[in-house]
Amino acid sequence: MSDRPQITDEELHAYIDGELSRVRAADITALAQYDRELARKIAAFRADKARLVELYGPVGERPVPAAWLHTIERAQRRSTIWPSRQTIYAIAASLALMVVSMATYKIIKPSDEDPTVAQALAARHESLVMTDAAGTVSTMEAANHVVQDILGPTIKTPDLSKLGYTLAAAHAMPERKAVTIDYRDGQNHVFTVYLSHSPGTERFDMLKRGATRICVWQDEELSAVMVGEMSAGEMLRLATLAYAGLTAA
Amino acid sequence: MPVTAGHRDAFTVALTAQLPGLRRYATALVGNGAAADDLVQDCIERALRQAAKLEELQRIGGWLRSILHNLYIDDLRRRRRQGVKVDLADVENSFAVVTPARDHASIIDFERALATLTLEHRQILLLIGLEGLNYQEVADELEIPIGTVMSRLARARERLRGEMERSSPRAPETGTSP
Repeated sequence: MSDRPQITDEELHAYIDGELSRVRAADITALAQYDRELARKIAAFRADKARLVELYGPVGERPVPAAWLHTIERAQRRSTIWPSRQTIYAIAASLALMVVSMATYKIIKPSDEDPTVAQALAARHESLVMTDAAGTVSTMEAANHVVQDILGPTIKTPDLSKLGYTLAAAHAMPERKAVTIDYRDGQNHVFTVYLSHSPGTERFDMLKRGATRICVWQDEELSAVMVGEMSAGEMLRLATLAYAGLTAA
Repeated sequence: MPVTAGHRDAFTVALTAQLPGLRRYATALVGNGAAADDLVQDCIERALRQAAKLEELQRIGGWLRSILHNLYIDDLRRRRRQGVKVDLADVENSFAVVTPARDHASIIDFERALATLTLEHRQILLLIGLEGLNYQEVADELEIPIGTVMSRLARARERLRGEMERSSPRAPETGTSP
């Protein structure tokens, strides 16, 4: 048996984890077909790995204790109640600006709807009814081009497949310098990400309009409004994955 | 990273989203649901205090695990100094008994075997086997070379298997296609 390829322990585990090169993995697969001891070891290690997921995986599906969420909320409140001096100035400036903007806005449009949210909801509606319109693409590569054409080379289309959502369509809205990206999950639920240039302020808001959740997340450069009919928890998970996935490597 | 209001909000959202996974990891690391929950609570408090130290929000998962890991080591040291004996009965009376399982005995064997491993070995098994990180991600998170990840993982799995075979020398599973 000296002509058999030597398999180190490290290689065996890399094989089990799918981290070995295709050629070397094929060697081990072939070898395990006539080496019963090797096949037994592989099966046993795989069973141990699967046992970890079987035993502890469901823990991650349980609702988290309310005390944890309260701790986070309390910390958030404390930071709101006792802001730094710099933050107080920033808040004062924002409030002054908000008063002026609200007054102007109410004259222009007598509605209490947030303009960023209103634009995103209108874009989502347009995007869902105009799936075959010009400028609509449905592959990640094409969607990246659309996003980068409008928003710059540092932005990319987030991959949400980890959470079961795949790209359905990306729709360029050059007149608004915005892009709408729709994703669908296995049950055909739609999650929309509306991307546009930021007005320059940081913002995070979670809103609810009927059954629709809206998450507004923006920094100084990019504004992302995420919309879907889902629980707050699901929106948080999707919004986090989407926001983190917007940055091109 | 300066902690502005926007970043703080983004941070707390990302932190909240990480909690279910962090609880899963802590439970597997500690082997005791109640102790794991206490550990996660401490981890949340420390993370909130140290939010400014997180440089990239995308790395929050690894950052939280490393806080949790340090807290767990501190706790073990403290208990050792206080002379608290941690034995396997704690494990048997904890997670396995509250877990609905087809084969209860084998679950207990598995938990017992996992608990005999060093913390370093449990950590690498969980990062790859439970959290689904690839070798490069583990190397980055633990700040060790990828070769060390591979050798440490191999030793951890060999020891776990050895413990399993020692505690229940029944016929190992075969027939799974390689």
